[in-house]
Amino acid sequence: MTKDTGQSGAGKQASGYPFSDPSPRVSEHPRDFDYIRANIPCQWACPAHTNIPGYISANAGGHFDASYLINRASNLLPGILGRICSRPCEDACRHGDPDLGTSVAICHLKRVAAGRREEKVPPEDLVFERTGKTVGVVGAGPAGLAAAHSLKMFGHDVVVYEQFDHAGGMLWYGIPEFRLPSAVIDEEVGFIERLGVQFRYGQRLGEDFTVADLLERHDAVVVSAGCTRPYELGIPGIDLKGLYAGLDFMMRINRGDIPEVGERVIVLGAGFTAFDCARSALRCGAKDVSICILGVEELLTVTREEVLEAKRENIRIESLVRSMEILGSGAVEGVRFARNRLGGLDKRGKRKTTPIEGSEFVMSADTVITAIGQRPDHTFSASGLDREPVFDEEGRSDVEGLFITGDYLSGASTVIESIGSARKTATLVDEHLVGRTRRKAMVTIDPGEDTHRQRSWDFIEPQEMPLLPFQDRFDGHSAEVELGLTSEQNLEEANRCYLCNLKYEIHIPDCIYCRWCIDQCPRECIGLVKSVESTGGHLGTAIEWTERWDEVAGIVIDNERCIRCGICLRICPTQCIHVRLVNMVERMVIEGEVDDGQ
Amino acid sequence: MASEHYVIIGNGVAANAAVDILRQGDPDSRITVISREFFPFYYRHKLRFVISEELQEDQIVVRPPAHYREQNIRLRLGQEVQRVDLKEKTLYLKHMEKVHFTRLLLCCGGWPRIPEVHYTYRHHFTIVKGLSHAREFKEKLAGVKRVLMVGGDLVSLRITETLLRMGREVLFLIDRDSFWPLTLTDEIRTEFAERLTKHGAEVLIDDEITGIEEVAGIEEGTSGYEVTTRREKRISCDLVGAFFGLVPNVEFLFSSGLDIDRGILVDDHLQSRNPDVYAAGDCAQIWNPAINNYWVSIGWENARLLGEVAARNMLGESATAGAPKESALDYEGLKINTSWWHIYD
Ligand SMILES: Cc1cc2nc3c(=O)[nH]c(=O)nc-3n(C[C@H](O)[C@H](O)[C@H](O)COP(=O)(O)OP(=O)(O)OC[C@H]3O[C@@H](n4cnc5c(N)ncnc54)[C@H](O)[C@@H]3O)c2cc1C
Ligand SMILES: Cc1cc2nc3c(=O)[nH]c(=O)nc-3n(C[C@H](O)[C@H](O)[C@H](O)COP(=O)(O)OP(=O)(O)OC[C@H]3O[C@@H](n4cnc5c(N)ncnc54)[C@H](O)[C@@H]3O)c2cc1C
Ligand code: SF4
Ligand code: SF4
Ligand code: SF4
Repeated sequence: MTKDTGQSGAGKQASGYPFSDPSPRVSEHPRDFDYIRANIPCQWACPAHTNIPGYISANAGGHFDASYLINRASNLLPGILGRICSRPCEDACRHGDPDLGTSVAICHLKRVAAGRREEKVPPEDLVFERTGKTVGVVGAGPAGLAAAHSLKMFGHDVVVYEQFDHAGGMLWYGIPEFRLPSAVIDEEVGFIERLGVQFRYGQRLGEDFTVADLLERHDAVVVSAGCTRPYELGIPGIDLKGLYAGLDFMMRINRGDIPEVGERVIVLGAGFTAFDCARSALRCGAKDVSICILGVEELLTVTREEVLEAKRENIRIESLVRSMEILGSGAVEGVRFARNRLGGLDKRGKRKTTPIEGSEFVMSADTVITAIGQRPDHTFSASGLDREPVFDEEGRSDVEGLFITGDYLSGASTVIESIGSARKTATLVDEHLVGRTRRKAMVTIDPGEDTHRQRSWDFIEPQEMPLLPFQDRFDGHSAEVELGLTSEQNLEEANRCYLCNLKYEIHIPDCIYCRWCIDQCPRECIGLVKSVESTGGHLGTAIEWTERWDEVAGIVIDNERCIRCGICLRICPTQCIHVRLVNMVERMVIEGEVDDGQ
Repeated sequence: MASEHYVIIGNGVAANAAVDILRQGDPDSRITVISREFFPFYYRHKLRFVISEELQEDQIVVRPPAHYREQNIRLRLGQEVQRVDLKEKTLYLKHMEKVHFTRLLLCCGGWPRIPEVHYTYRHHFTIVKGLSHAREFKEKLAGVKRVLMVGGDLVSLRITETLLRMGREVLFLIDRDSFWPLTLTDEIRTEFAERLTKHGAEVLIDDEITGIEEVAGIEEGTSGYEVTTRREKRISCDLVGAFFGLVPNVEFLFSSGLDIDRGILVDDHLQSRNPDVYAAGDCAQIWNPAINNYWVSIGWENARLLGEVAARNMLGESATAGAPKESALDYEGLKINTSWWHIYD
């Protein structure tokens, strides 16, 4: 059986054999990116491709400034994301494989770096000379901020137009203070302002100005106006007193205009907004709060920590229910529900649910909050134009110089997705303005060394986030619940990470087939191979495994299973096992640097 | 027709009831029973007698391994299923072996519930679900004078009786959702506390744990606990037993694509949305058209009945699982509805 692993090993033939020349490489070859996808799953899963093993090893060494900068280079807002990121990286982490335990707390470690860095202001990261071009960005949410920051780095002058009087978008107006303190937002937005990005507040696209105006003022325009049009529930009773739309509810709280809630609150919805509304309702004085979801808890897209914390605060999650009617005369008295059955996947890949006939029941409540999501209002991006622009999947339009990004392009997503999206858009805008690509993802391959990882680190328990005691949580809306890992916890948690950017390789010509590494490897990931063929790049290989000694051409490490424990390296009597450091980084393009190994 | 390979995850009462029906109804089929416990099928309600050493371990066995050999059933003990691949109809065991099935019955039981408020203390809690826990409990008790019981479920009542009989001091902190999934009124909770006190336990109500710290125990080399509560009590004890009821044990199935809510979602024939996969016993969450709701039943007799129903349906019959019958626990005159639970002495 041939398994194309996207990884390298050793070969019978010396030609094309990776260790024939272990000098540093920089590559853009698709097979080298395939290697990253299969081998550094956390980094691949992060929409901004944050160099996770890179910053975790900096955390382990206590180099928090370096860790912060590695983060900031990709995700821009480490202090913010270290608290509220949706953490797709943790779902992908190798440590969470079924037989390996629990994912590394990648996000919590990011917060440690942000909190413990000494250099309070990161260095100015203006990379290119001023171009004399100007770009108008609409919306100061995470997408607008990320687009503005990148475009400023590219040397363009950037003006951000924001309808409200504060930057941050949903970070500021949606997410509650007890999860994300405003000082953290202000600090990281301040770093962007300091570069010379201009912010114009109280400027609403479609009212105070149009897209056509902006296209006249600027060489390019990026609309990142987020999702502002709420979906409608479409059931009777939505005009009753005591019913709130989730986003309005949160925006009022975040502006200090605390809404009135009754003792019994029902929240309809399943996303971050629903959970924030429920937890905020408790802080508004509610005694009994339920979140009612169409599907099941396991399929929720909010983080596990968010679900756990809501339940700790004694919020109930009622699963498999669909609201049919809000009941009451004048004011809300309850909700009539039907029980749901789970079905297969719908067109968007989401699980279908269908109400079960005759299964209706009533839950009483005096406040109902609907948090079923928002979508973008695409009338903004057409304002002042004589026709509706058409956008492609990446946010380019058929109107010269007009782009859209973030949630405004994708529909409601997450902070890190909108940042990832905006960084891509900024590169497209720059290409449009200067006529060439000036920022690219690349794979770097460098010599590595033994990390002296101890086997016992593989069994360290995940570190638990210290939390604010219950009695101190509910007086107002601003007491931050998660307190951040301690220094000791930082070290323990960082040591859990395998550092999957290390690549262990066997140099076959020096191997004496003693099998010591095979016998000692805790993951049974070193095997005999019949052949190894290069499939391109420096790291792409197709491996044919065998168990027959008469056809063995070498011994190879399966890097997708390897947990980088280093035992093989230390035990090999001929020292024919080596480490290389493979990283995916985003770089400003320097001509002549790339070598694809072709 | 190629013969079936029925694979059953679990070797508890639901699994064994099913196995009997399957063997009878399909004598030539292959049947494999897989359990992560090393011990043969036993009465869980007798575990407290193992703790008190009133019974030897072999005295709680329901069926010895020889029984399965006689019935031509492959019994794999001490083997944990880590992942289920429904497309490939394959189970992945922890020791990296694969097992194929044509029809799968999930009887993987329940697991002690730790309420989210107490989640951070879970490492300090001693639980009793299986024989390995009972052994551990017994061993720990050797150096123990004072036990703090937190929660309050039917198992904890019996264990408390046992501990008091063994001469240990018992302090019982009744949780706000004791007897979960029932909600006790304050009145019943108070009456319940009075009865426990009569038995010799010290009882705390309307309070909850706010911190647990591990400290040196009364005997050298042992550890004890300092527990603090919302009402600013400081409790010193040598062991903290957590008894908050059982919930379906389904975490290992999350990646399988099976429909899982609190338990494995099945219809009243105990069939999941995948026609070759059934679930029975404590792990199942069953749609019941009569009450128009899902139900999860934790209890011995129901698990047995459900095991039978699932097996009949796997053989092509059409049996339905009815809601459990009404019954009540009488604790010294205090009646608590326990339709799901039978009282065994
Ligand atoms: C309550 C809540 C909690 C959330 N929690 C999380 C979480 O924990 N983790 C996570 O990853 N994601 C979370 N999200 C989602 C996340 O906030 C969004 O995905 C993210 O903010 C999208 O960024 P964006 O910049 O595209 O849009 P937004 O953040 O919505 O920013 C859009 C900006 O454009 C401005 N704007 C809109 N229209 C106009 C106009 N016409 N003219 C001028 N300005 C305009 C808005 O005022 C806003 O500042 C949450 C969302 C909400 C609502
Ligand atoms: C201490 C105690 C006292 C009790 N007392 C009473 C009582 O008095 N009255 C009453 O009615 N009920 C009582 N019960 C509850 C009753 O024992 C259970 O309801 C019943 O045992 C459920 O049977 P089951 O077959 O569904 O699952 P279980 O008996 O829980 O069996 C589950 C099986 O699945 C196996 N398993 C689980 N996961 C895996 C996996 N990943 N891979 C392989 N195997 C796996 C386990 O090894 C086990 O064999 C008590 C329970 C306990 C723990
Ligand atoms: S930004 Fe989010 S997804 Fe990316 S590494 Fe950080 S926590 Fe993970
Ligand atoms: S172990 Fe570390 S490097 Fe590997 S996937 Fe997890 S976080 Fe990433
Ligand atoms: S580093 Fe560890 S897991 Fe990886 S091949 Fe070597 S011995 Fe095996």
